Amino acid sequence: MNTQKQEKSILEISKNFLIGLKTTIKTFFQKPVTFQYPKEHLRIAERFRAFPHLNVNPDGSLRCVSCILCETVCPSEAIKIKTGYVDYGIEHELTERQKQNHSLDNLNKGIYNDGRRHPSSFEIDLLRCICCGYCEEICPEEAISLGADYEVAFYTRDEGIYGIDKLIKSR
Amino acid sequence: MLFWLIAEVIKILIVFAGLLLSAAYLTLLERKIAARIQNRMGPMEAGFHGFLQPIADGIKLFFKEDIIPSEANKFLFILAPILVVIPALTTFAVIPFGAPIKIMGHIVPLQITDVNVGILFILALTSLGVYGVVIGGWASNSKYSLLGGIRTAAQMVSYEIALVLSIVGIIMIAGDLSLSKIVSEQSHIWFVVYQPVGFLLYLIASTAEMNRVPFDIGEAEGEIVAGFHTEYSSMEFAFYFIGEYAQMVVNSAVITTLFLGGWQGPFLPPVIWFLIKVFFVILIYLWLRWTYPRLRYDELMDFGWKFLLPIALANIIVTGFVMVLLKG
Repeated sequence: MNTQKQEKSILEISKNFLIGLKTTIKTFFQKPVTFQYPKEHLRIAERFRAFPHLNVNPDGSLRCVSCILCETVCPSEAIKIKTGYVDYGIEHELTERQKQNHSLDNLNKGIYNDGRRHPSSFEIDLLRCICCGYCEEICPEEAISLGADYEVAFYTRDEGIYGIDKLIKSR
Repeated sequence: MLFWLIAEVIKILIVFAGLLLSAAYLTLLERKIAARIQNRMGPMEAGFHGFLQPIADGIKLFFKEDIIPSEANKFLFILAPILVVIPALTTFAVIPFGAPIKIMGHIVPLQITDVNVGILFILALTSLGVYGVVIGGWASNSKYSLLGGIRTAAQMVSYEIALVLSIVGIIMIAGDLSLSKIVSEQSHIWFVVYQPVGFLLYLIASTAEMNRVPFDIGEAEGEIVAGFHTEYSSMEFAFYFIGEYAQMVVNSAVITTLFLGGWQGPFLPPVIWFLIKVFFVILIYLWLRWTYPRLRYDELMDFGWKFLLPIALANIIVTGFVMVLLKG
């Protein structure tokens, strides 16, 4: 191997020095590519998908019927669902079709429900979630879908487990 | 008599405060310029566009724990940073930063003291800064510090010669060692026109003298952690920092005085002219720092002895010849 120093003429060296100075002065007058992150945000793409969240009906009731398909398909076992029902209360106006549905009547008398099962607790461990979108794909009720909220941070691992309320709220 | 005393004290206070403040804000300027050159934004949080950052840094450093290594020589360890700061601040004493002004019938020169060997005074004091570095490096009892100190000493000794020789041309043209005389000699044309090579040599050699980046092998962080101030913390580290940046301001002021006409300039008041020129020289230093990578040790020595020194000597000879020819 040739270990000799490559000798260059002084003219060439000084030319290279000047090129270096030119490069830095050019970048000096360019706009910075960084931005003040917590104050400004990067404009994310419209199709950007991050963590799953739960969808609700226009009247605010959960779409999820706790079929446990998503829990089954989840490759990282991030989803935990406990099946239950929702008591809407006597004031709530059920549609005709919901009134006809008596499938839950032998559970408890005097429940005003829509005749469907709903999750009593629906937890997604965001620390386990890999944002693969299988749950969204498999959901027959379009109850779960991936949102654009990528800024999730917690102080403890337990905070990373999102319940129903948090999942509805997150975008 | 009393008037002189008061004027002198006020001048000293202004220069002292100005130097310390500019050294502090130079850190911000440096960070901002580095950021812009690297397409970043730099400090933005403390105050408007990070304007309070130097103060925040100062407070932080002031309240930090002061760690002195167990086997260190305590006296020298504390003395070393002071030895860096004091010569850097004292050098400014002979630099004229404005035209003489008239206050209450007295003519007050805007220069703390007009020594008739001003240039020698500057050269002597800038070389004293090496002691702080070497003593600090030795006293910390750390291999990195020692290596950094030795490297810096060797580097400064070799670049000192080129530094001094690059000024000789100026002294020959001006025919005087006093800085106020040199400034008044430049009322028609700046010496940088007569001495472009000397200017470049001084710029390069003073960068080496200040341990700034193309020549910062004394604190090469890729090789010897942080060089001579590896073991320093808290205010002692801040002193090294202040010394370094004050030296930069002073060196820029020296370049302004010797090559760029000092405070001379049309329209604006002399002090403003002086500050503008100093600012631009500082910008050149920062620009150099964020453009070039660090020289390897042998390259640095080669460059100093085999390139700068012969050119400085040739510059003196050529200047002498031209002066003799023009006179005859």
